[in-house]
Amino acid sequence: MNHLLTKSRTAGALSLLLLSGALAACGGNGNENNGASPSASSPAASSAGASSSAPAASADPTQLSGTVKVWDWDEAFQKGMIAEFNKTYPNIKVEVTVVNPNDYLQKLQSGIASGSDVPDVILGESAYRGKLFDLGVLDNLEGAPYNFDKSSVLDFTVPYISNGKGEVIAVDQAITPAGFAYRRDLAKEYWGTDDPAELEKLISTWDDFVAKGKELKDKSGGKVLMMPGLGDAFIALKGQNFASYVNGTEVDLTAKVKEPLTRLFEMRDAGILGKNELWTPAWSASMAKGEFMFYPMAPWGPKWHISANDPEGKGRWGLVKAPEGGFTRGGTAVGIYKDSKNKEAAWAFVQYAYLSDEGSAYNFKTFGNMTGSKSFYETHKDLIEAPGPYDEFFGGQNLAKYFMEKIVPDMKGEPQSKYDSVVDGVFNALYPLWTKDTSVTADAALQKFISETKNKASDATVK
Amino acid sequence: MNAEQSLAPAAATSAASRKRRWGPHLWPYLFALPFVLAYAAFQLYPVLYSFVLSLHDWNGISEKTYIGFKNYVQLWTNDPLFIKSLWNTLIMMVMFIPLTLILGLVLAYWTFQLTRGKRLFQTINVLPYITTPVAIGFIFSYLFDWQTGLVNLLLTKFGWLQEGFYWLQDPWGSRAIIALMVIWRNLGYFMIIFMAGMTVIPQDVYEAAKMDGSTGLHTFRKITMPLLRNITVFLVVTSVIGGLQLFDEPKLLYGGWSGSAQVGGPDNTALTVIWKFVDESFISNTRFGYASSIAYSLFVIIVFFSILSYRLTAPKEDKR
Repeated sequence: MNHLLTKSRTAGALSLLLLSGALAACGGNGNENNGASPSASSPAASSAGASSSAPAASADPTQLSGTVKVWDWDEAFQKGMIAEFNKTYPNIKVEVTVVNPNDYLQKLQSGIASGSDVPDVILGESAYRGKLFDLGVLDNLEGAPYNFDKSSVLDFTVPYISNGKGEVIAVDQAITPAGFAYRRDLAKEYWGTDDPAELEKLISTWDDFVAKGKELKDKSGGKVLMMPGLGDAFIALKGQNFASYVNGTEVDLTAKVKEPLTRLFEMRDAGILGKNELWTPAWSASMAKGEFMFYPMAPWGPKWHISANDPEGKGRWGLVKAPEGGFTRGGTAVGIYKDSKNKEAAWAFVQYAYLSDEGSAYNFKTFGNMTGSKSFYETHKDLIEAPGPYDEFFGGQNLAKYFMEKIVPDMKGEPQSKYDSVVDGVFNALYPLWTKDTSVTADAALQKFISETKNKASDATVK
Repeated sequence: MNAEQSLAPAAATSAASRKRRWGPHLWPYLFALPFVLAYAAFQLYPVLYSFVLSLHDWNGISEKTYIGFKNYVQLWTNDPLFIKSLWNTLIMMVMFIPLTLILGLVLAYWTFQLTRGKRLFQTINVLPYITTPVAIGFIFSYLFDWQTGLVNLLLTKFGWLQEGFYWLQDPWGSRAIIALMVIWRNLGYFMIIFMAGMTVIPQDVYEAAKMDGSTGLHTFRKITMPLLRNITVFLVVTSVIGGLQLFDEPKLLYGGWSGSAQVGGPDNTALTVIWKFVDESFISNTRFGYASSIAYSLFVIIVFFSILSYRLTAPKEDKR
């Protein structure tokens, strides 16, 4: 997601670190605790109200009270969801602070280090999720008072919400299985079909993909290519390799990226990828221009990505699964601060907003977000069948159904690690160079990738 | 003093003397106290604390582990990126400090002579200095974009280049653009400071020189420049300090405003010391102790270069 970074000046960054120390010494627990919590439990009677489904926050919802602090970047989501939530839990007040995802972890760390403002509900975006998990600030949700049952969510999502010890410490904000968004008009023009089922067959393997890409390039006279850049293709290629590559401080980068890099360089040398960097203005503009056929896309993509960059493009987009299987793109984990004073109220909100059937239904209908909870897909089959908010934009294709039926079944999960963000950062720094200098081979690129990762993760053994 | 000594033993006057001792003496301290306290809490303490921090291994959340000077040893002997970042920073300083000084001086001299439109010209030149760095980052990354940048469009349109040049992914291209950003931003400020210096030079000196037959370039070299020496020293020393803290420009040029910011530019050729510091504490890692050792090392480097640049530029009689 493309967000403005609140600028921090040199001195700002420096003094922040210094200041955090100063405040730490001043100590103090700025956590205002609005009474609440202890009562709440008139257990056993897992009474009506809360739906059959998920491990509910027990008891009578009206009995729970307190103030839950949430940091989120998506204000629209929280505004809508809190109003829904309060229909069931009228006595829990949810306060939202809008925090830019680029600064999120930094703010959180400073808050914890200085003993000041820390939210009860913490969000971990994919860019820093592994680092957040590694900090050990999120509570184990399988223990009391949450008693979350990980078999209640889609199996492939479990690694994305677990820490290195295998404890589940978060829930998914929404599942993020990804396929390719494609331009229907271009597919029709150059390949004679814009039907997802037909396209699946045309690009069922990466070899087919490369062959089709060459054909596309020739037919269009080089005006239309398969993807905007190396960054896009690598998201899919690396994402399909679900192998765990981190063991303690041992990082087996070769196992994770060798094959994806080889394939990536094959595509680059075939000339079927553009020269754009992810998230640049030129990259965003390319969607409306129709210079590229495919863009990796997860369920959040239609809203934040495709329709945002191609507002006039209603009806000219489609969704097809990637060659040789699914992968994930982005994704945010939602956890609870381990020293929160309002754990029960916080869990009630998290459970309602991201897992419960009612919350998930609202979330799906309003924002197109798909929950990780299995029961939703059984009790609300009707919603999945019904047109979603962005289906029309995609030429009437039922996106949710396609994701669930075609992409999710062969998904696996990637275990999270604090080195993920280092590896991604190194890749982001390197691929523009590989785009520019086409004499770099896949082997040389791998060696460079390894040495750069070593430089950044000095405590790790990288091979 | 004598009087006070002789009065002291007398019990009757002790109250008065106490009043005198605590009274007028105390006021200066009292008045200074708010500042001193604020300084101690927000400057002195953090500075000392960050030194303590630099002797620890700490991620901001877990327990601190004391590791002595290991962070410094690691930083100076086993961190190629730090050495590279220091090198990059110095290279870029060499690129922009002399140029900004010369251009600033020339521009100031020229503007100073203007009889019409002086104000307008001054204002226009200072505008970049008051522009938000974020906006500058946007402007330059648009200008020098590989595929859609204005610079490449012009170069290819006039046939000077067959294909656009990838400015932002070229080791020297990236440094040159960052230097250009700094020059563009600071030129107006340098100009204003030089002009302030020029206003102070008495007109009779110029008149005397004129009488003696000095004109144009000669006057500029023999009168204006020497008399601006102190201003130049000030500008050199402050820009050396500022230059070593270079961060905004490179960070914002490489997508500081977008989600997928690239740290360090192509092959880390645009990585500066402060960027490395930010990367260690908040982006790639969360090593607050290690980052503090970077901050402290930079502090020592800044002191060294400040003294050096002062020694090199200050007039002889001041060099003590």
